Amino acid sequence: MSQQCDSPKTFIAGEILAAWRRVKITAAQTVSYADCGNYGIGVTQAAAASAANVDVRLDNHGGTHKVTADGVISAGAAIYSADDGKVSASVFGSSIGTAVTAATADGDTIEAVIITQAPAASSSSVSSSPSSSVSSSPSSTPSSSPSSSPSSSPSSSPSA
Amino acid sequence: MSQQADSPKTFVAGEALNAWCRVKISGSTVVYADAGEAAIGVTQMAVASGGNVPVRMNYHGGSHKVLTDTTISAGASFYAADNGEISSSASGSAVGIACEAATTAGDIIEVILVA
Repeated sequence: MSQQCDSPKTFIAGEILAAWRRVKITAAQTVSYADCGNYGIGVTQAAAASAANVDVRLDNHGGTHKVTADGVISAGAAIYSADDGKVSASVFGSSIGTAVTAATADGDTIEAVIITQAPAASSSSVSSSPSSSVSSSPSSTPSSSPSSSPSSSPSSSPSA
Repeated sequence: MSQQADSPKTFVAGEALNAWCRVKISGSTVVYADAGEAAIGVTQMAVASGGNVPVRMNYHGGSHKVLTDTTISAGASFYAADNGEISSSASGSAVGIACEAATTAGDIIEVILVA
């Protein structure tokens, strides 16, 4: 049965993943590194073995993200997608965000503001069954909504 | 008086609405976002016209359940379709990416929305 959940959302790792790397969906509920020019959905929050569960802080989470740099990046600079889920100062396509802190070497972890982007029209096709199934720790139930007229809040979303 | 609210936010339905459908603001109500139209979020329950309906906003921070009108592959981008549904048929810009597949029109799937 389908579900919806708050970020971070738990996916299955489609390959060995390091922490703080951008990932894309490659099969049902499965993520792999978003490479240079790939549309990403969020950033891994921990390292994971292939086929293990991995928490992903979605781009639409709100707030900043920790991400891994592939080289020198200045604070305040635009960042771009790079291979293996890293971010780079090297221009490739559209910027995916802005660095809040600087990176001085490949592998540095920086704080960044990630832009939620529309996926390319061609991003597609991976197979699979509609069954969902990865539950979503660590979050799941959204908080209630404080006050919004015209009525009461639905308190929590029916995340199934 | 003006206000601000967290998602999901409750709106008045401007027409009868199904659950798990994309909606847009129309006057002081929400109605279906049709093909090619931007939406503000997804209905969390069915409601009669004039009733209150909770809407999980696009930027809630997380994934959404949405009603499909075609098959959609996991990992594929998708588009707005009539009656608040989503489709693999291109209409305007892509509005999200599927976390799982829809094998039949009418399936409800988990997605990540961007618009």
